Amino acid sequence: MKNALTISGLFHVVLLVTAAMEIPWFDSVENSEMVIIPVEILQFAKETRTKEIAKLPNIEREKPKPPEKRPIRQAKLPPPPPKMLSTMPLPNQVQRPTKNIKVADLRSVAPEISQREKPKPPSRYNSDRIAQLLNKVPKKENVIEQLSDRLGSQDQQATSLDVRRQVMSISSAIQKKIEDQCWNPPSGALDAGSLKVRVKFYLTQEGKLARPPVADDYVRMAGSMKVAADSALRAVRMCAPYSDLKLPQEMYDQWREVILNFDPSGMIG
Amino acid sequence: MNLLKFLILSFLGVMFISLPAQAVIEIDITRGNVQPLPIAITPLIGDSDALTKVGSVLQIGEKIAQVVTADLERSGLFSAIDPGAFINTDNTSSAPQFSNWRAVGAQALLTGGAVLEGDGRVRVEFRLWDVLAGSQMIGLRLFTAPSNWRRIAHLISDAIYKRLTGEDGYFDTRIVYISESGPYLDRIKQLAIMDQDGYNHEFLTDGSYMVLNPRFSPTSQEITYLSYYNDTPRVYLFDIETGKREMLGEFEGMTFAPRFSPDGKKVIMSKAERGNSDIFVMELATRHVQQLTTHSAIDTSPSYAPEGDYVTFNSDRGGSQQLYVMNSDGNNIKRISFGAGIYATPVWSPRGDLIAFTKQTGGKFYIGVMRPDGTGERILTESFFEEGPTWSPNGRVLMYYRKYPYDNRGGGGDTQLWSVDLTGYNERQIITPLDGSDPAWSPLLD
Repeated sequence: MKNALTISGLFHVVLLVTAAMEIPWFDSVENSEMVIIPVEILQFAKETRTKEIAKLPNIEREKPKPPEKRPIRQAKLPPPPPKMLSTMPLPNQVQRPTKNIKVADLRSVAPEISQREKPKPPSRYNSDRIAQLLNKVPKKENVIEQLSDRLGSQDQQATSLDVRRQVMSISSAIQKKIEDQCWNPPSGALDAGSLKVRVKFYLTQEGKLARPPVADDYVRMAGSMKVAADSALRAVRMCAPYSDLKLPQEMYDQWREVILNFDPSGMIG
Repeated sequence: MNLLKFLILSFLGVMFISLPAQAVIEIDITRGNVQPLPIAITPLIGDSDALTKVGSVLQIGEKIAQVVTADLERSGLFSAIDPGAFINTDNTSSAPQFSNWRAVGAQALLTGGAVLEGDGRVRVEFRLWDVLAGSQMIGLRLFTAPSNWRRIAHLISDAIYKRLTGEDGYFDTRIVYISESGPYLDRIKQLAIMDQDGYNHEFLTDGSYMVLNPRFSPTSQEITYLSYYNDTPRVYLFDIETGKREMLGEFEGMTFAPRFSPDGKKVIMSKAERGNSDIFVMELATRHVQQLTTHSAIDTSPSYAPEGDYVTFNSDRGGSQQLYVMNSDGNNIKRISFGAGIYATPVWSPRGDLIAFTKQTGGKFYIGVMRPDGTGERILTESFFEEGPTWSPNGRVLMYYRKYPYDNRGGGGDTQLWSVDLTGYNERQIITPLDGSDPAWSPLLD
């Protein structure tokens, strides 16, 4: 029974690792800020890494591939900061593949996850660069560690901050337009201040509404709640198209889908 | 066990990792501009050859649109778009050309028509459209005698108001008030009734004796008032539909400030004896009278909370005239007003959230509201003299009266009816044939 469980456990871990590294969705997922939970999985993976090492080489050989595919997209994105390059020419230290694998692998889950959190290309560049380094320049394990540390922390953070900043400015542009020009909250109802509505809508690349906006639970709403939802939906429609906000085309994936939480409690007591 | 836990968590981990995440921008919208909703009201179409006693059906349709426009504009929550700006007033098709209405800035649109039925009644159909969404919000059909077209208009206004604000409307209602005329030293005071917009005005008494304090029953077309018929002040009950009048029993001393309980089954009032005034309540069915306050101070102007469980009144038991709240059995009396000046005529809102009052301080009068616990006092209007607020049935608008100063030649002292909504920004005069004071708002008509 115990054996069976152990074997099953191992298979699950293998599944976990392969899934983490090979599922192609990750390419598109990487820009998301939402996937934070998997970080915890890392810790579990560590527990079993010794057993995995034997199997890793296979995985490792495949691993460099996905990074090579990625650059195509990343080409559009801002180039990695020069620091990276300066750190690239590394000392001539011999690097043992297994160790590399290990390092890369220990991070293989980690960077990907952190890349996902931090929306951006830097992470991709990291893996690309690492792949290049692995191929061309023999290096020391700690160098790679250093490298990935750096790439994984500083630069990646820097660019992910940029993305966040941009996302924030997109958000505030939409917010300002809706608040200043379009939302006319119903003030008559007794409970007007507590009528919170969540509206979701999709934009085309031209900034038009891709389909009618939808308020959560609209079908079940009645009375003043429905009136509040109507005012929110009207605001979204009134403000369309959003082309005047000049939302950055290269970040369309970021603003394609918008959720607005209308909360009048601050203005209607 | 640990292994099992590990496996389960691993599995969950894989599940999480496998879910493709999407980039979504989530934004909190916490500010907006509260402003009147632009609405386009098209004249109801009708046959100009279909004649009734009050004009052709086409004319009735046009007049209904005008009354709806006036109702909604007066509420302060809507701005009617000038019909001169309409690109296309053809509302014969079931689905309007929304782009034409969007172009003139309309967010809501009213279309409809009127038809004369074989039995002489008029059938009115209307639809309210959401212009931006391009969808229908209401569609209603109403029948009435042609002479009753004003009520149809008010019912349409109420339906629109309710759909667009979430609150019941107050347009299909009436006002009783004291009509005043003559020199201020010999004022003639008559009981009068009219629609809330001032139309369909009628006098209910002839002015040969003084009447005061009319109050509507919250459940029926009955009013109470104080009459000096035969020179003795008494509280009377008057049925508007039947014209029947009855006195609510003989009391020693003076009875005044009568007001119905929310269920319409009791009348609460104050009674003065030997210079003191206390609060009493009478069961209308049994005429049983119960005394609620016994204090040497003057307690008056009682008003029930909408649930009937509390009563607010004013009293000078604390030194100056202030507002108090007590249980409806007279227990647990608490003072709620503590501001500077004198507070009077407290009236509990039909929706229970506020108490309206008259305040006098610094040589001026004010109409204001506060919560039943005395917090959140807000002044809505001020003038040389104003008092006697009465609530619209939806608890959003107050009507009261204003008196203007006397002049040196014994003139002046004119009184007018005014209304203001809870924002304090939408003050409007209600035009009456003569002067008007002490208004009382009816519930929605049946």
